[in-house]
Amino acid sequence: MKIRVILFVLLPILIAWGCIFLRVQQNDSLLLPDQKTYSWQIEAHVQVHGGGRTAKVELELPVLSERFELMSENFVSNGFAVGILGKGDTRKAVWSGYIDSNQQIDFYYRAQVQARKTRWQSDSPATVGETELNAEKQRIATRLISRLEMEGLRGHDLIDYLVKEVLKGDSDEALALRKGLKKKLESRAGFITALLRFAGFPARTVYGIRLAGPERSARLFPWVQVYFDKSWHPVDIKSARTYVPSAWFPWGQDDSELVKVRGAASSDLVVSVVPVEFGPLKSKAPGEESVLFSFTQLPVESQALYRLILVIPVGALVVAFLRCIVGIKTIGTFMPVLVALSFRETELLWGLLLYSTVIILSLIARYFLEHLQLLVVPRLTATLTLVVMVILTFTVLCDIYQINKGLSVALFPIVILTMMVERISILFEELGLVKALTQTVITLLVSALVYEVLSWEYIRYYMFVFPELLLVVLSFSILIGRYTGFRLTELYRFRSFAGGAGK
Amino acid sequence: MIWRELKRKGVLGMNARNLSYIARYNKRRLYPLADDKMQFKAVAESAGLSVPRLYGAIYSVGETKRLYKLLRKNPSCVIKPAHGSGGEGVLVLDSGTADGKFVRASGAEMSFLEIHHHIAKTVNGMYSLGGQPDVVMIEYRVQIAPIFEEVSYRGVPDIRIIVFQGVPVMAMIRLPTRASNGRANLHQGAVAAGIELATGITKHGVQGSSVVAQHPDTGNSIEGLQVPHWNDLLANASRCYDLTGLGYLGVDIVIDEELGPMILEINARPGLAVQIANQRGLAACLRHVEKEGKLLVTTDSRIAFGKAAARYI
Repeated sequence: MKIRVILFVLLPILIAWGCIFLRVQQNDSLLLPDQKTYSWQIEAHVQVHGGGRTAKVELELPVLSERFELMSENFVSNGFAVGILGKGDTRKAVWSGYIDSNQQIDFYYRAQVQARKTRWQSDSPATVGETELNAEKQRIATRLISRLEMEGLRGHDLIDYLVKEVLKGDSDEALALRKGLKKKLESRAGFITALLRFAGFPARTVYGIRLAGPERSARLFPWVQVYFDKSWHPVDIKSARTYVPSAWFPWGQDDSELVKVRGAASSDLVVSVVPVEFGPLKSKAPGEESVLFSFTQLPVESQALYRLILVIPVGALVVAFLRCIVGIKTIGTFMPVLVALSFRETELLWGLLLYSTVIILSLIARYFLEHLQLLVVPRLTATLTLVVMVILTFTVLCDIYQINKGLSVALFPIVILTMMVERISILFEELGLVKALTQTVITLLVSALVYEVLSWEYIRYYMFVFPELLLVVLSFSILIGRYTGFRLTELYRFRSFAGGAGK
Repeated sequence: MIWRELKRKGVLGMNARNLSYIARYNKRRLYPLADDKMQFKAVAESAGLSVPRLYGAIYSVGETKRLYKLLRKNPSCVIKPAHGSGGEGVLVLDSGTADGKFVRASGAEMSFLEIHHHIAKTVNGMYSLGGQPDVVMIEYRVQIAPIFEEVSYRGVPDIRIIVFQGVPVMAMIRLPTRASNGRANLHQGAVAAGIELATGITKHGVQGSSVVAQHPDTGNSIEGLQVPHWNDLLANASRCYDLTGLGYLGVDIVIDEELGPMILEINARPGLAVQIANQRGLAACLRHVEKEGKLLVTTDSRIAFGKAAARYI
């Protein structure tokens, strides 16, 4: 009996160890998550106020860049048709439809981007592009460029020197070219683009954001991109340098207005940035066959789902530990895991607040229902309806007071809430208010703990990269399942035994 | 350390109870007999054990007329769910009034409609495990024995005997209080008092986690009461093992003023509070029975073994 249990505990751990060993042999970088490869969740949000006619919202989509790749993108259209026009560097999302006057509609574009690990080549542009330099300046520029070429500068060096000279230098040509140039970065960027085009290099002005940390409202700023060596290279206008920080993420071209709205008034475009540690892992190239299946082979879009699925058993293990070793009882065995999963939609504090409020309000309403003496299933239906009504009220209030969290309330697991309200109200009837509330608070606290565990990046990373860790979870659950010692809370329950019998 | 102290005194924890006793000695297919009070009542009755008489059962919400007749005929009765646990959903009626109402044991009046609603809730599974449809039992209301009247508030106390392999190992009496609303449920605030297994004499009581010597409502001493028919009680409890095959069970017995001991129900997952009431650990007794008491076959030898074991452990 004992030996069998030990076998059941050790065997999965050994198998898991073997699998991990194999994986690490192939790629030892897996063991330490690369924290530098941040990926970023970027969101563009525009709010449109309808004018009682058909409106059209055009949003420029991020420019493909040599530094970042788009891992996934999605559109929140609130019932509007969305279409994507163009391709490559000139993509646009177009929403169109009829908007009532006084109606407010939010459009979101969300993308997950990540720094490229491999070199990327973009298609060469068809034309260099038209230059906007006037004849006078063209003459001066010709002189300057031929002088630089005589000095033996070519390609990248020529661009580098040309930009530096024109923006910062004090030669006659540079001063003449700078004459009449405004201080604003936009006009300088336009000027450099024109100059580079004149010099025979495909160039363009781009507007983008800096990916440095979480930001609620990121500012768009311009720089210039020039094409050589089979890809676009950024040029910083402010410092006149061709080596720019790698965190610059280009979004739109030629124009700082990324969004154009016709037929309705609109708010400014708000771009927000959230860094995501250990973002999606890039699918492997077909050539690199590995011995073991890896979830990183899955398309990026489905990776997120498996990241979640793989950590759920860990959450359940936490609940089992709390139940059998600590001795904490919750309402419904795995209710905390479900609640914790729903916290992911709302973030922890909001989730706790929303849950408590919805539960309290529904309980009060449910109390009045009790007086009507209803049959069980119709009463459950009524409770569910009440829960939905409370949630909707919340959403409406959030909308009125402009709290965006209200949006995620709609995704709340309504049935879970209903069952919870039902269980609590039965507890309330049987054991009284204090005990019912204590149980509720305990359940929510356990949920919060499970949520914290589930959202721990390291756990999510390791479970995802080494799915064989599930075997270890299995081992642990067997181990906990065979535990016959006291639960910690029992030490308190039976405390009267400690102070000598029958005191 | 408290852990070691509990271990030394042989206190049984929840995990050990579940794994070493319930999982090992109570076969799952035997559970329905313990969980379904109707079924158990029938089995016990046919085996000649005394149980409160069943007046009738309600199987569906529609049986309104039959219910009314049943209640009119037996206005002093107990209404309870066949699959209930922890005393939930139990309604005790005392009498009927001339205008068609009923009086509860607590003295509150209740209309037939309210009773019907309660029964509808029960039939729909409000009190059964997993919310499954249930049957409502209407049965004889046990009359409290005089000796317990001094130490009970409204309800009738019941005696819980833990039986392991047919050997009674520990017992307690649960006394209803005002806090428990006249029910004999410990988690609702009833007082539990340990019973000396060898003699049937009560020890001090506990309410919640505090030790009490007097009944909190009547003020009378709980200690030193002789439970009547003690040997019959032990015999009844022991026979439940033969009847059900459940190796580890709790038998709840009440003592009727006229009819004597009656088995109320049995429990395949009896709680651990009996240890607190007796200030003794169960594990030591259980291990002793496992070691030496397994081969006992007659009820008498089992009782004798249990009594002897209680003296020494």
